[in-house]
Amino acid sequence: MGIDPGALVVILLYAACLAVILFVSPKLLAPTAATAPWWRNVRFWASLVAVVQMVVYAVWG
Amino acid sequence: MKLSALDLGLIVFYLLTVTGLGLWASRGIRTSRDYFLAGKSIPWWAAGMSLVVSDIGAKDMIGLAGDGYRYGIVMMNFDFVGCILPVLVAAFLFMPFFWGSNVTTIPEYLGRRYNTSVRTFFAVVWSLFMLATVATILVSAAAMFEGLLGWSFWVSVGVTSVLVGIYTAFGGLRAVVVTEVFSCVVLIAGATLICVLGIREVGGVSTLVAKVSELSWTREHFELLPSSSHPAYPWPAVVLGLGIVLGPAYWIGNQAIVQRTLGASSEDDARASYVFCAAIKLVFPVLLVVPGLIALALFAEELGPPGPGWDANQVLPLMVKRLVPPGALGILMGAFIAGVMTNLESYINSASTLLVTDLYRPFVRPRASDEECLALGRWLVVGLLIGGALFSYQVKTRFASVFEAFQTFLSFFQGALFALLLFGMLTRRATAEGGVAGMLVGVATAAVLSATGQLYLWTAFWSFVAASLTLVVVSLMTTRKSDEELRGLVCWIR
Repeated sequence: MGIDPGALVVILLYAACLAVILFVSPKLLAPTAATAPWWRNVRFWASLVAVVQMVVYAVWG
Repeated sequence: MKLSALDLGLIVFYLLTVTGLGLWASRGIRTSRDYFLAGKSIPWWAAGMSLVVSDIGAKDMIGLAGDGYRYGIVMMNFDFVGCILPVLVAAFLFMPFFWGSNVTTIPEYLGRRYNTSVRTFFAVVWSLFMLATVATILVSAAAMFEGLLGWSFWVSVGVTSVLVGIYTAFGGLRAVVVTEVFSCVVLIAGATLICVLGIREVGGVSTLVAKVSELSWTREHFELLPSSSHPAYPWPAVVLGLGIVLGPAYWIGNQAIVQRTLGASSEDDARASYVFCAAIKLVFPVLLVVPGLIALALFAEELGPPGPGWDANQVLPLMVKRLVPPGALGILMGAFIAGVMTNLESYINSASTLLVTDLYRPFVRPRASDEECLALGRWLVVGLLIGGALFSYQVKTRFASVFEAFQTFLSFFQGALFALLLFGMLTRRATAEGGVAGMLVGVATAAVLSATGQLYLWTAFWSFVAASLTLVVVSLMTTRKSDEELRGLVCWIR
């Protein structure tokens, strides 16, 4: 059973979003954001939300 | 429907708590910055919860239950694709520029990036849109109150307007956010309650799926992304119209949304508030769409198949009337009132901010004192409520679905707005002339497509394409601003 084309497009959009979150230019973030531990790191939580959405569309899309 | 003493007690408790919180938060409002941006003091968690209920309110509870009945789980994409995706991108790519440019409104940013014409156009359009939204929310409120309590349309609209006006006029953004945090909790509790009661009545999730699938018109109700031949939400339109244009334009360019992050206590808090909002939105759309499916399983014979003239707004009130026992009804009514009040106060506060910041100060009285602007902001809250109430009857009589009305309003100018924000923030080459031309062509394209009966998702997408192409072509033929003029406004020049 393959993934529908619509779901695939959405997953790719979320992958692009994940790339923005992970590789966003450090100069766009306030200095404190770069040194925070993982549980206070906004990039970690944002990545987690994006991954959850990729799973949702992979399973139910 | 008769409310029990416990239900009435819960509703009164909710109303008194919200009004008390709103008035408590109104203390210490001395400047227009306190009023419009809460003195830049909102913590991330409060701004995040406030973002959620600024977007999801009565119109969504009523509208998404009705559209969930009509179209199924595809409606969850309005949050999954149309919110979470743009919110995450906005948090890391766009928000730093709104924050860094120290603006109060989105049109103010557009004015500094392009010119006064663009600023004025979007300030006027947003103000009109917000007035229409206020009217739409009041129609949602009236639908619920008519269905549950038997109140007339005008009594429902009047009571709702007065309740919200009391503290929004005094407290500004701080009162709005404080009450929204409380309301967010009540709203989630209420939405969860109706889902739990409904699924229990149906006999479980698997029975729900089986019963809905038995019906002849529900072939794609459990498709998150339906086929490209779907009459209302074909997946290409969902992905391109909603995911690429309407969602980003709404979450990056909507004053009612961005104002919360501009009022956050730091740039980090502003970013965290967006991410917190996205996390809550992983669950919220499920709670709003599932009631429509429950109604299909339980009341399909009574409500009938959706067709011309079918009223989507009757679904949720019928469910509440049939499923919710005395006592629990008070919680649900509290949630619904929370949805109405938070949505209303958000849009009224933001419209007032726009009118004062982008129209009154620049054009009517450039030397207006801060006290004058503060007083005007408060009076505008009252005026906007009255205007929205008068306009609400038009919305009620002309649109079958409240949610569709809301999205149709958005699609007219969201494509052009997003094109201007995208090119304005990501490239220094976009010029003022390009911005004006893109804006006009984008809105004209949307108007033509809408008049020819195109789906609003396609209307938004093609107006974005037209605005983008025009902006690029005209910008290449005209002179751009210097790097110094663009500092803090464009991604690569901070």
